[in-house]
Amino acid sequence: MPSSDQPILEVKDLEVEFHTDSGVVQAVNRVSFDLYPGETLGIVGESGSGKSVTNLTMLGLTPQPPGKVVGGSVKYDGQELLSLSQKQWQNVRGKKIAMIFQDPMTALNPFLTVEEQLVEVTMLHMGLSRAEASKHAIELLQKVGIPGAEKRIGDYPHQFSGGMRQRVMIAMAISCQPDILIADEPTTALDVTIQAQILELMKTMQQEFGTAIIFITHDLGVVASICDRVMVMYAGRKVELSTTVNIFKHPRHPYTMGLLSSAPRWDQGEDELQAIDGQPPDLLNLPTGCSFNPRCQFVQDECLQQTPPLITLDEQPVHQHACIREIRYLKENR
Amino acid sequence: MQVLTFLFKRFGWMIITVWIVFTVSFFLMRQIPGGPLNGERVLSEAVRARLEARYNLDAPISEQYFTHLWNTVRLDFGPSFKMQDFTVNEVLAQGFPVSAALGILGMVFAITIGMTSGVVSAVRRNSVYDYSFMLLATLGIAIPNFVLAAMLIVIFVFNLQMFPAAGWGDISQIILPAFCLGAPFAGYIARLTRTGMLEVLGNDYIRTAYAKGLSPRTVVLKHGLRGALLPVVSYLGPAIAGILTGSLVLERIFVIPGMGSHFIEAAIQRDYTLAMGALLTYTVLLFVMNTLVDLAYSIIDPRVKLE
Amino acid sequence: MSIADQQPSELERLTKILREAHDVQGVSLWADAWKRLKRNRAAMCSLWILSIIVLLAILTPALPLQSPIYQDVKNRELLPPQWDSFELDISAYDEETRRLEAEALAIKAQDGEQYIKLLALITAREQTHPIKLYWNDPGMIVTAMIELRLALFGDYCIPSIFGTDKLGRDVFSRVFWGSRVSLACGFIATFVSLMIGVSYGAISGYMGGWVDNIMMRTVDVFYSIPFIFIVIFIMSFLSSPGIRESLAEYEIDQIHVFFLLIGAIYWLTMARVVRGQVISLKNEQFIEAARTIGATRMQIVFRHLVPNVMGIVIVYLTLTIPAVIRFEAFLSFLGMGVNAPDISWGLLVNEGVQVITIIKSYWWMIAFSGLALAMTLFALNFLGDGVRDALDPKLKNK
Repeated sequence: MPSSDQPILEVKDLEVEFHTDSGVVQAVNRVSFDLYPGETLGIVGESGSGKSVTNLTMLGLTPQPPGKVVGGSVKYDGQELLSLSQKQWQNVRGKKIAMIFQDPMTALNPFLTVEEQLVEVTMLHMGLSRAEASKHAIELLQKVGIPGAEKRIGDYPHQFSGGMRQRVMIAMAISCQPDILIADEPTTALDVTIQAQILELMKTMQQEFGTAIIFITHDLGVVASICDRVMVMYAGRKVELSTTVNIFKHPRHPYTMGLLSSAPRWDQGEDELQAIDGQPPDLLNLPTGCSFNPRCQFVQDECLQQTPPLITLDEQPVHQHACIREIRYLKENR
Repeated sequence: MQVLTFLFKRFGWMIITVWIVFTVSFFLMRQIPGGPLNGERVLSEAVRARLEARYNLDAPISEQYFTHLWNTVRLDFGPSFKMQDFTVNEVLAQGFPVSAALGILGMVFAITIGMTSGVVSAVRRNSVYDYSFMLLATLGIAIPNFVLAAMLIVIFVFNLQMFPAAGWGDISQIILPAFCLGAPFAGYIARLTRTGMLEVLGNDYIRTAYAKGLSPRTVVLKHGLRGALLPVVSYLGPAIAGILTGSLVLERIFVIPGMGSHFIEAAIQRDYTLAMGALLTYTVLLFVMNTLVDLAYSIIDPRVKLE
Repeated sequence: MSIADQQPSELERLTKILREAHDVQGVSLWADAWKRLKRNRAAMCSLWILSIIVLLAILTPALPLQSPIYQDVKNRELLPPQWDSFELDISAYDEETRRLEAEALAIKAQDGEQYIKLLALITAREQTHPIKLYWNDPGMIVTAMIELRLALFGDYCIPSIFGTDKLGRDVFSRVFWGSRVSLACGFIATFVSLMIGVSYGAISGYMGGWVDNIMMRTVDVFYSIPFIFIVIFIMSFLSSPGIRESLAEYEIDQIHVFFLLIGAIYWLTMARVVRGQVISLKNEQFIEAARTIGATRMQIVFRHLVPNVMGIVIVYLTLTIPAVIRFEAFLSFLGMGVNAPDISWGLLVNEGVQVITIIKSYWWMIAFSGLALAMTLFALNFLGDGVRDALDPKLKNK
């Protein structure tokens, strides 16, 4: 639920390319969205849909080379991020925008103690002394629910379980009370029971600090339980965006529909479960027209020729999608 | 406690290894028809008998073996076969510090140059630095150190007259041999550091470090270097063995009175007691160094358990 | 809608998926690796250079080179590189022999005694033919190649463009002949280490349990033995008078023992790597899968295990070959390896180092043999890197 009218983050027409040995890949293709303070925006899509790249770009962390931001703008609190210098970036990362990564097994440095990894952020951004930072770190660990935090702070990451490590990651990310928290599939690598705990923890932290969260996932169940709004991406494009309720109730894009019917839901029978046909798109040679056309069950001639523009439906709450079939349906019924 | 158990176990293995080396070389020595005194010179009966008594060769072989073993345990390698006035211990004690100085200098050179250029190559990947460092590294690895030494002598000693050709004692006399000794290992270490660093820099936790807002310098040196050190540290074991062998040749070329030249001299002259003493010293040295390397590895990587 | 209606479309859908999956399936590991290797310019360049070096080494006897061992201290001691032409005297020798043969034929009828004398002389001349003198009594194949060379080029020899050594021998031809021993050593010794290492590692890994335990403990102990010193130790025994003679009785050349020794000390890493690979493969799902479809043990070993171990074995071969060549050079340099009249690059460098004096450096004695050695090792290293990258693409882009 947007708690303020001013977006904290405005992404406009973002374009990121990857220059590989075999050719140029449009990893992110003119993607726009806003993020409001205190809300949780889910970004959903298959691997390779550009969701992770989009978010790495917001921290200036697109791997370069091969990645290259070729257009668009990312504004944080009115300030353009894409033109920042390396030094200026360092003041944004970890302090204003923090990130939690998918695999807590690999995202923590195995050679340094948890304490070392926690205090270096606060010492850098908040100017704390070593002792203050240590105290702060222990408090944080207690807050994210690590039992015996005073003792365990000197341990190395491999001495923690997966769920505990993700808690450490969360503690690290919120240690400077950032305005925006980007969580890149933070629960994918965890057991289901642990997943629920981590989600619960993130919600609590969000309520306490008022952080806006971008939640990247391919798990619609997670989306339903934590996100206010959802953006669906396919082959580097935004194909649908609306509130979570709207997306679940009235999906407009065939890909979203496919995603929904392929996700197991407790309120439906098992036989309803359907996979989306075909292979995930080969980004090196996307089909002409709509990228989704080879897999779309409603495919028509037009879909093979023109790339569908993004349509903003005139309804509350706002609903955007990019499907020709829907456009014509609307035109015919006007 | 863990460390002590580890050291204790290692010590046990070392004893076994040294014993095997001792036994094999002892019986090889006794395999020579007519015994080790059967050199080029024809000895008179009296002289032979006297010498056999001196080297305890007149006793039955089992007795010889145990006497020799016991002496070795007491670190007494006996008199040298060819240098009649010296005991093996004296020769080794005189040669060891020289070789150690040369080896340490070569190693320090290899590690500093190798790691620096490796890190620079990895961070500035595909740059001119990277390509030229890696070309130099491959050159260093490919050219055998004696070829390098010979060429450097021709260039620096004869044509440019910057260094003396040979000898020991002066700082200018140690530079060329230490360089030649360290060069191949500098090359290896540079490449290992580069590969290790690139692999580490591709890790998720490096991305995490950047996402925290740390400067590239902190990320590379604090978060990257430790991981990149690991392959280098595990290479140090073989490298030390290589330094020992390398010094064999270089001590000979540069006429340095170290343990290596004594060993080669002993092997050529068939001075068996000296050769055996040196061999056992090398074995122990290698073992101790490998143990130290394993210890260092476990200190750097907290996930590794000593066993 | 009945099931019958649905069936064909469902079938169609599945066939389509299968077809797609079939198209996705890529080329084999080896073809893929070769493709990657071909793109690596440094590695391909090295491959060409090495092929040329190996070819030249094999063809050495058939090339118009001077004798590698013919000494002429008086006229040709330590000559610098030069273009003065040099000719053998073999055709004159053969001419003379033929003249004698003709003479013998002519007087065969008249003077039987003289005829027999001449025949004896001709036989004696065959025995002491310059080929034997100039090329150290070569074996059958080498003799045939030298004869081919004489037929092709006659007495012509490439001038001493690399200079001559202390005994007036031509360095150019010595470098060529030296390449044969150095390369042969590289391949034979590596082959020995390959045989020992792969069988040791495979047995250890395949047997598992206490056998594996004992075998690997042994390797651990061997690892901490400074083998290079032991080889030197052993070589010094082999060269002691009594031993050398008794070896000669069994027709064992020191050089053969030397090859074996080098091979025998370079198998440890190979054994460890192969063992590790075999153990991890043993429990791999595709082996399990092969077992479930009834593959025999032989099929499992040769169709599934061996090809998968090959990659890593080749990677280690690329490391072993240059190491072995370097080690041979190292020992020969110390005077512990190849002995005269055999020639190897290490020996040549050693000869070069020995003639360095305060007054003159005789650079050509070191430069060419050293360069040949360095170039070969350099190319082997580059090729090795390329092969490793090609077989393990995961490492390359990191």
